[in-house]
Amino acid sequence: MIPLSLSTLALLALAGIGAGWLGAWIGIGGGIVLVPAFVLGFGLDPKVAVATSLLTVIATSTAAGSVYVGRGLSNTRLAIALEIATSAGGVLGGLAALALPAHVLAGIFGGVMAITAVAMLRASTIHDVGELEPTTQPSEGTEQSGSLAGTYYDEVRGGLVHYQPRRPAVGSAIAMCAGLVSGLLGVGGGFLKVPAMNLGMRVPIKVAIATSNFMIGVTAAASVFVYFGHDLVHPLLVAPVALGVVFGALAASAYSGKAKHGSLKRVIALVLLIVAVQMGLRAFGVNVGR
Amino acid sequence: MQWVLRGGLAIAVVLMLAGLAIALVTGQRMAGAVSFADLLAGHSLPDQLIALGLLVLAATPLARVIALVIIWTVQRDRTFALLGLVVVAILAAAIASGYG
Repeated sequence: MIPLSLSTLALLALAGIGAGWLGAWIGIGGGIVLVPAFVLGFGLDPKVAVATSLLTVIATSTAAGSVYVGRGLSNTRLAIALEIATSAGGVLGGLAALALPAHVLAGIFGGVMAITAVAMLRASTIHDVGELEPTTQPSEGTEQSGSLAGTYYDEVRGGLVHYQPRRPAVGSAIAMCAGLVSGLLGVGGGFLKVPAMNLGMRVPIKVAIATSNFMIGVTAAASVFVYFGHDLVHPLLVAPVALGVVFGALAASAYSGKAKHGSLKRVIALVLLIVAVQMGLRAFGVNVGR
Repeated sequence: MQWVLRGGLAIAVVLMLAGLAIALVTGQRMAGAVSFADLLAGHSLPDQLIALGLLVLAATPLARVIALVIIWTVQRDRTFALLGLVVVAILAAAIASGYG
């Protein structure tokens, strides 16, 4: 049992607003921020912290998704294709966690994430992926039946962007890593799915963010039943965070059309570096989070 | 598609707000774990309302995937209808095995 004062409830809601805003903004669940905040700031049991964080991920995904779907920003075919790789990665992650010492795995992933962050920063000059068809008339994005290709309307670039995802093998491999990491860190792994699509498959960053946002909701939804089964759901604890998340995610996704590509990449790179440091610390035996 | 997400979100938010409000009014200030058994056996009302909201929330992305499979089947996009079915099967297995 965890006592909840009014100020605790208010702080939980504030943490939710921040996580929802960041999550919808760059296509992640926000677990990498929420889990350490719950453990260090609120003194929660790490397992309860992970469960609470993943439950609120569905709120981020659904709230932002209700805005993105109307604009046709997310590529649902790409999401479903990558979801298979991510699920496979989750299973492999479970096996790898049994076979290798956790600190060795953490060291490897920390290194991979630091490299991805640097790649993300260096790539910030080539953010205009896809073919631009200038138009002043905003229109809904489309997908091409039987393929991963699609179009979306970009407010900042001022036109309809036609894109064709490339190198599905590379994207799938990174998406599988996202599954591996989520098993290890207890977070959703959205922070790796966005680079997987953007850097790996040359998908425009805004489409990558909206698609990742859809995927994290699907993955997290399955775990709800697991957490109920393991007595890890504390409804009064989840509610203020989830409500805050809905508010933050709706606000961020309404504004997302105007976001500059370069700044999105820099924020994602920064988040990747934070996780890389977290992983690096874990490799040397310091645990932040689970 | 959008109404699935908006509807699910609205119902979940109302249920969670109601649960939180009742807890505040009745002075329930201890957050404890709730299992499926507790929900059926008549646990405290705020916990039940919020847990129900979370289940509605969890159902929305799952409903979206199932809706996609149906849409792609109707559009005769066999490849992706099949891929969607694989995802549904993986999710069902994860839910059934109690292993996320």
